[in-house]
Amino acid sequence: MGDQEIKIRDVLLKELMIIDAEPFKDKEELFLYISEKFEETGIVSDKVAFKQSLDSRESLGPTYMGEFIAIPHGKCKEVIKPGVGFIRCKDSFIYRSGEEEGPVKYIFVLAIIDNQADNSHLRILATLSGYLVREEFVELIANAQSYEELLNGIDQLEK
Amino acid sequence: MFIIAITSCATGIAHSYMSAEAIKKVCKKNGHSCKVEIQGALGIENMLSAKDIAGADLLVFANDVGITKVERFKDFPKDKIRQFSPHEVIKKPEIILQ
Repeated sequence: MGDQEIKIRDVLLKELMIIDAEPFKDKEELFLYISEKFEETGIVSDKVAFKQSLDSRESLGPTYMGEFIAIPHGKCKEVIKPGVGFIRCKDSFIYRSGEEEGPVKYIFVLAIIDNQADNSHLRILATLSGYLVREEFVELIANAQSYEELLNGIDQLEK
Repeated sequence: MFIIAITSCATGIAHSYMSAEAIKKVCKKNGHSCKVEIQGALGIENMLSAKDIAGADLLVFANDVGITKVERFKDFPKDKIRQFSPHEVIKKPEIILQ
């Protein structure tokens, strides 16, 4: 495949794993928080533009996936490098998305680069998305106590 | 049954791949074999061949954007085609078998 040089840890960033977040008031507050974090970490060059891309994806259909999971994602030219953030809240909050709403505790945020040539990163985003329907993965994200534990757990899933 | 499916979504990453996994999982759980083509940001993956299509008992579309090369299915029995959004399939995979 030629994509071996890119690892999950290059995309799912330690600085963007927050496992003890206070529940958000709503999706808006979450998106503002995420955009800020993604700018701080250098994933996006402009938090306002990234927030807009998250909102614009929402207008296409729900990113609430059930099982306490939400996967907001944004794709825009202000994404400098592709990245995934994982936020776990101490308690659930109501996440409204499109026509749907429900309690959310686990949030995977994807920043997708607006450039088809970067397939190796996209491959990882695709793989992670696939994991989200696996019970073992949901159990892992619910319980992992550290970044290393999460990454090691993902390595186990790949075997 | 041998089930074939195509998934595709707006951004071409999250829902396409999640729904593909959801379909594989529900097929396995119910003892059906399946092949799932993904049309996403990485292009067409695991493309369904003429042989796959001819041998399939059920065709599932899980898409909210247009399907590429849809002409492959023009002769597929209409009553054996199911149409959903990727989101529906992820949230309730059993619907493809109902």
